[in-house]
Amino acid sequence: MPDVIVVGGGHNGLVAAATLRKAGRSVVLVEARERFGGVADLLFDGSTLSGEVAKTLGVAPDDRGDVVALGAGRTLTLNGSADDPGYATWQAWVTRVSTILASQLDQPAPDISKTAPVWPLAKTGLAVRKLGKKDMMELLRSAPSCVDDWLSEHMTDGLLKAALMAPALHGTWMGPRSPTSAASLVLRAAMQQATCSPRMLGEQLKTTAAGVGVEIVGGQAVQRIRVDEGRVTGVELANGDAIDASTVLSAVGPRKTLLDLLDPRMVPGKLAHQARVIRVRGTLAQLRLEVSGIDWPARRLRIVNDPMHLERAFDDVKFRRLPTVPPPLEVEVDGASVRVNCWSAPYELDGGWTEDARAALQDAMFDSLETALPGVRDAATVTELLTPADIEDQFGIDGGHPMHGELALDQLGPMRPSMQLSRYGTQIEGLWLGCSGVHPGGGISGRSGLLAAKAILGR
Amino acid sequence: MSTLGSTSNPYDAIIIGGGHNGLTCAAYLAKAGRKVLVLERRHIVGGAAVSESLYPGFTYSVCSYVVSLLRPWIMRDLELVKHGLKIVPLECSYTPQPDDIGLCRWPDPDKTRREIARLSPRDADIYPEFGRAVGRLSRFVKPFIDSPAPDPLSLNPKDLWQLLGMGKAFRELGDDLTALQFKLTTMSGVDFLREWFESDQLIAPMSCSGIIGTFLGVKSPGTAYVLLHHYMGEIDGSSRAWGFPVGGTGAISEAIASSARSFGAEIRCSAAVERVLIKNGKATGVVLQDGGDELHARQVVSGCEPRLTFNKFVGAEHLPSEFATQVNRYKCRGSSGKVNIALDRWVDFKHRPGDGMHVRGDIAIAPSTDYLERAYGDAKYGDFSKRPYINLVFPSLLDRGMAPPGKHVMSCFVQYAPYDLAEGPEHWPEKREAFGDAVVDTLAEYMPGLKDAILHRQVLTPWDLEQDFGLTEGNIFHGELGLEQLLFQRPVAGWARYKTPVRNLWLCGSGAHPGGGIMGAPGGLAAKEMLKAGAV
Repeated sequence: MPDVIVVGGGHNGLVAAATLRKAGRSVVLVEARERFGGVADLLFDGSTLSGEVAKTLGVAPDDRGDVVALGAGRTLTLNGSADDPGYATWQAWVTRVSTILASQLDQPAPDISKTAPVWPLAKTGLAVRKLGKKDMMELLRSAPSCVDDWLSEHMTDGLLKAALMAPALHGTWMGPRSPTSAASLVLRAAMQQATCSPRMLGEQLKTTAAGVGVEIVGGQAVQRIRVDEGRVTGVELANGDAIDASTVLSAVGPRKTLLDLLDPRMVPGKLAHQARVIRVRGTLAQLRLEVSGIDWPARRLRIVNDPMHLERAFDDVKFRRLPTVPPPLEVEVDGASVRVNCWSAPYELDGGWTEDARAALQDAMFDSLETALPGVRDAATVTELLTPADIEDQFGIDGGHPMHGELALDQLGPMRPSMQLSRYGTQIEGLWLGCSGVHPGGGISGRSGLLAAKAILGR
Repeated sequence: MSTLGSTSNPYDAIIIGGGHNGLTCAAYLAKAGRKVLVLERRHIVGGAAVSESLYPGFTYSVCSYVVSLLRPWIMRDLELVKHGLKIVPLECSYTPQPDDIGLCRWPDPDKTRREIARLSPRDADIYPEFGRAVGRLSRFVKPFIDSPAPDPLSLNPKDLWQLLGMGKAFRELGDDLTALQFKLTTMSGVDFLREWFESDQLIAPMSCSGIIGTFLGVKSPGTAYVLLHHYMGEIDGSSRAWGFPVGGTGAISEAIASSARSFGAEIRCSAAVERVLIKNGKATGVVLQDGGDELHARQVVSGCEPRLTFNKFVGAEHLPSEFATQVNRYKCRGSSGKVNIALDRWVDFKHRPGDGMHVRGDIAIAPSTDYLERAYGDAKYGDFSKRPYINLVFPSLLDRGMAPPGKHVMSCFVQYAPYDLAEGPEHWPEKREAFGDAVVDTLAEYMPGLKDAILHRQVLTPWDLEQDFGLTEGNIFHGELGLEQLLFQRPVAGWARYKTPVRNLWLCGSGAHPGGGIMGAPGGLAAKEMLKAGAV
């Protein structure tokens, strides 16, 4: 009987498993798919692995070069040298502030519950005050505002603004005109500590975890987390096998864990309500292509015209419809294998993701590609199109939302995924949550898994 | 002795703008025995809280039209009831549907329950519980609007002590309410309500309160907060949300003005201020527009919007450059218009005819959340909403004096009408009537006989609100009520305590903490701060 069962071999599950094993616990990790890494397979642009995680696990950063923005008939390299006069000042501010905030992301969110001690809260307050009055003032003013207003105070170039803000809107269910989207950009900057290629990350982390002695079971879905008298007793697999353990760390999303993997009779009503109201409206669709004969300007591209282009694409999400404008895209090129992400495909599409809807989305994505890089349509063979519904099915994540919970102020920090669940533990003895649905969340950072493992070890 | 207002015999304070906040400030200062002069540009006091007769026999509350948060301490201190103020509660919140009887929410919980149960029995069960939870939060928030905002950036022990107290009160709410408060402050109205309710026909009208006066949609984060205000109303101490002042909103201003005069304040109308007199970094008085007369005072208080105050009356040359930058970043986007209509006769709503209790409150044209979001979409791209959100009140049903017998006044608050039209704000005059038509066309879908009954119509666009009432970009709250422009950041971080970087110049309008609506709080709090600081 292992000390801990980790449910889900996404990057956070793997990080947590390896961390626990290295601390001397016996660990079994169960992953439903044959391929490891979960959504790391889907995300690429701006995705990063936290410096601490990378160091602990020995994952080497991989320099993939500059990001290039294509749009409004122009090409712009995002390496800090764009000649918009306000850009450098803004960038310097973001760097200063995000460095201090990043230190807060490497520890559990402050506990704001009634019974929590005051001192750690005060310490967080003091850490943030280190920013100094002027930077803090700017942070408090800018964070609640919309990212379009904020960047427009500093810059005029629409393409530059759009390319900077686009990745910050991923997983937020917001557009550039949505208040608090500026906070997402600051958070995004704080997350960015080291770069590596997420596509290979899953297999790399699997090797690391196996190397330290984690027992890994692939291709087996956990069907139920067993609970007896309010305590975890183990898991049941889809093939009928059962594994006993008194500690289970679930890395497949708080909502799915609490609503699907537990016997509903074992979940107190209040806890079930907390899980039900977690917002997980996915908007990501991925087009996988084999392309030859195209001269790519960079390995990573953002195709977008200006902030209002992003806003119109968000309107499509809001009204649950297929693209009414050629959607903004992000592209990652790895030899002939090209992946294209569209972040404005609504999970809740009116009429559902039928064959016609899929064809229309693919067409719209090609229209966008073709405008930026003429000739792509003819040079490409489609290997796969993943809609949010496919992502939900294939990756087993609620709403097809790759962050297991929208990145909004009310679902971040001490509120991620709810005030009572933000410390990785749950009201069910022995059940822990450790994926990006819990603080600090976000893209590929591994922090949530690491912090969840530390929380278990701290017990 | 020389005339009051000369250099040798200055006023204690001159207040620029005779809106309800300017008047409130004046009344408090006069009550404390100070020599006060209020200067109002228009021929009538009240600013945006004004009643005027633009068609014989009919009275319009030209701009603001209902009252909810007028502070009880102001009512008491200034004896507003004695000075003629009478507020009648709104009896119902009615949301008609184009093809259905729609929803009425009544003061009587049982009646409301039956109405909501028609849409969703589950929602009907939860509705009272929701009210109780949000009501408890509003009691937590209320102290914020009744005292100056503490500054978390300050190292002043008083601020820190006040903050600590707030933090303590926050935790003492208990975990469930703390979480709820957190959500309420950051979520969109629709997302927040969806955690409780399932019926879109209920969520839509409830979410509207969060968009009034903002350039945001019901699905924009941060719009849930204003829901609280609906549970904060304090007419005569009852918790009823909204009321209608007999005589229109101008009656509030008249009562405050009458109170101010009774304490000895001097109020001059048709006296537009050209600029603030500044000598050696100190405000010493004002220069009037016509004739260039100079009036001197120990303190100058502006009830006008901050950007107007600092850019027009003061001038950037008298301001620290950082402050001037922040003032220009202060967001004032107007998003609403007003249409006032004189009706020859009562016009029925298609699915709930008659002039019964269901129309003696506010009526929201908000059939669905998608409808509201589409209305916002039009404005986002620089046009008025083809099918807008309308908040409708029939003042003549609540106060017979507003229109001749058998005839009616219809007050339509309309959103969205963006100040920044795609073709530029100066093109509003040529689009004004088209905007009015969109409003009437929308209403006619619910009130088929409307068009034939219209005797007169006044259409106010954001452009008009700026030109006629001095509201920068037509923003009805003197600056958007976004999180980044509230509390210690209203209007500029560190300058939320009514003081400004120009010595002896103060703010007392809705652009100061706690913000817009007919509350009187900025005016009252500014006066108290001035007296406490020994400035007057």
